[in-house]
Amino acid sequence: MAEYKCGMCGKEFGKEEAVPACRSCPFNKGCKLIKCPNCGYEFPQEPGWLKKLLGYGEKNDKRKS
Amino acid sequence: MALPEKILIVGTPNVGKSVIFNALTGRYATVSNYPGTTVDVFRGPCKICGNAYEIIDTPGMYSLVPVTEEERVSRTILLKEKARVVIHVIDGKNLERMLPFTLQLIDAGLPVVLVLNIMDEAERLDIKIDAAKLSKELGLPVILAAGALNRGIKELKDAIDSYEPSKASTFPLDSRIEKFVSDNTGLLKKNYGVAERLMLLWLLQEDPEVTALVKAKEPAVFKKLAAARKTLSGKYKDHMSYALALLRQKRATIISGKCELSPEKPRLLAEEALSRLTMHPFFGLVILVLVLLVVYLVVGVFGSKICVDYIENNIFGVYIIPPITRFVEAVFPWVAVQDLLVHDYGIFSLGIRYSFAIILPIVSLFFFMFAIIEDSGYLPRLAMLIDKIFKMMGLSGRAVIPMVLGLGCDTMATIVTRTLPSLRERVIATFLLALAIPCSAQLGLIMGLLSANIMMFLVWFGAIFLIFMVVGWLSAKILPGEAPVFFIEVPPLRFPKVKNLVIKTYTRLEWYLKEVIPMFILVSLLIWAGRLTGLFQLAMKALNYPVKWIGLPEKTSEAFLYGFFRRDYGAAGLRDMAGSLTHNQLVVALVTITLFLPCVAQFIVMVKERGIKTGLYISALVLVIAFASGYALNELLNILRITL
Repeated sequence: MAEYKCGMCGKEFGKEEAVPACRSCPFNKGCKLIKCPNCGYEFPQEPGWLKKLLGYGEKNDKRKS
Repeated sequence: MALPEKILIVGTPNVGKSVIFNALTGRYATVSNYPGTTVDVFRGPCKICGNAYEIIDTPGMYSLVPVTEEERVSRTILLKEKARVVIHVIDGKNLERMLPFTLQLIDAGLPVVLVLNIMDEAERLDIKIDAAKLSKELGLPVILAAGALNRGIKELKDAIDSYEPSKASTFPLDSRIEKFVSDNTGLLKKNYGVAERLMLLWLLQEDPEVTALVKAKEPAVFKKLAAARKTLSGKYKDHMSYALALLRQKRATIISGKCELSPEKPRLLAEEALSRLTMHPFFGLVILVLVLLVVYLVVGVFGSKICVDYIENNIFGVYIIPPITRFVEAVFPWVAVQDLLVHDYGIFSLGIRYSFAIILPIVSLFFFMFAIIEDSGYLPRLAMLIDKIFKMMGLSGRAVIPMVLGLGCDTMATIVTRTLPSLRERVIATFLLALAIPCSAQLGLIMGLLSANIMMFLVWFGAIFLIFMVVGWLSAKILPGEAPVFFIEVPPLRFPKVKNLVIKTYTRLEWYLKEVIPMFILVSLLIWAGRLTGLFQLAMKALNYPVKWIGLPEKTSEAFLYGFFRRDYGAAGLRDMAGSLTHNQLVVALVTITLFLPCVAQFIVMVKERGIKTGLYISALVLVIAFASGYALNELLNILRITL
């Protein structure tokens, strides 16, 4: 499932596609930016706790529906 | 032991090539840079009916005539790796638009299997494709697939296993081009790895690599072909690349019309009309000005003038800094330690105050506005809109990506310039980023300082825009080269979702603060150390001269010095002394500080990316242009007796 959606070109992609795009960057270790493998646009990763919180919210929404 | 046969996956970006690759290899892949480039290529093993293969996933490409480094690498792989099968993956929803690339692969004489991927979405849109008919039309196997659902993978494996090389029929383009091809077939004697027909068409399009190759290998033949090409291209009003693209598209429309059953084209919706307006050469610019105005009102007037004034004066000025100062003065009797923590340049009174009271409210609002722009799908339209303007500066709409990222952080944006296809574009973009693109916090602070009256903002914006254009245009003249070509998928315009806006703003803010707070504390420490050793005063003395030339009081050199450590720190320093400057002086100072040297981090990355010589040249030029522009603006305002 696509984890990210690029704000520039709209490409949806998973983490495994994003990492190689950053491999040649000198700041890639510890960097929290995600790079779109299609157009090179960069954006920060959402923090884990926020992802979990939103995942919980979405699960609840599904249960309700 | 014999090496496994190779299978290449090719196609434009966003068609699910990686999904097909993963489905065939079971996600087992090795990634390596293609030799001599920074482009990553995925390779993985695969067994089909007991036979071992190596699957190679090539970087996305739009055409066999490359524009970017990724496309160049993909073409090289296609020509050099002798593949048993080339899987061309296309988006089943866009058959008509994607078939021209299939026609080029057929012209190349490659063993193509066509995979129409994402058919699940195509079916949801009531698009039906007659695969058998399409296969007969093209003369090659056609598979309908939905890689993400594992649909069509078995059929693809069967097609690879049973593939028998047969010559797919090429499609005539027009009589004049076909005559050129037939008249010259047989002239090229060397083996170039592709069908002679495509070699002749590439020469017709003046593909630089192919031209150089043939010129070197068969100079006499090249001379003859070049003369024939010149005669033929004179009969077309457009460049041959464009003429060939149109002819292939015409052929693709005929083929897809025979094989595709899609619902009637929907009427032009309001959303589509607005989308077109945002890219219109005139109305698009009007919309851009409106967008900038809204950002100015929210970030500059509301954020910097109202929010920051309140937080700084009523919260930090009353409840935070004074008690900390009293506590430090009571606990530490040594003035040097007191100066490190509080007073004019201390960690709390300068670093922490700048971070939380000034920068935080401004960047929060800026990131929120940026999230609205990003989530609405406006950015790729902006890229399309300013493609023509950027072309005058030797850049293309593709450079919008680093320029927009520069509004967040110029250091990261400088790294992103490596995605630009040519060295010329990378150098021009790096230069313009260092010169005229302020980062988010600096921009917010500048907007706040200019919020006293709109004329100040207009003069500042006009000056920066003019310098950006003139310097860009001159750079393109000094560094000559081909006009770059630009493609981008434009996703639909959408109404931003509040949830997305909150996530994007929070995420960017967290990233920014993690980076900025340690830096601000470090800068406070450096200033403290510099003042103790006298180096700070020395540097300020050197800066006093150019600062006086542009009509500013000596004290402003302090802000310029801060600016070299961090751009936003310099603007915040200017904010502290704004009360003692006239409006004219403030605009001159802000124009100069916007153009002033990049911060230390950007300088280091610039040297790393472009080399020490180019890095130093750019820095020296930036310094000269910044003060020369400040001087010219100050003189102009004085001569014209303009008081802002």
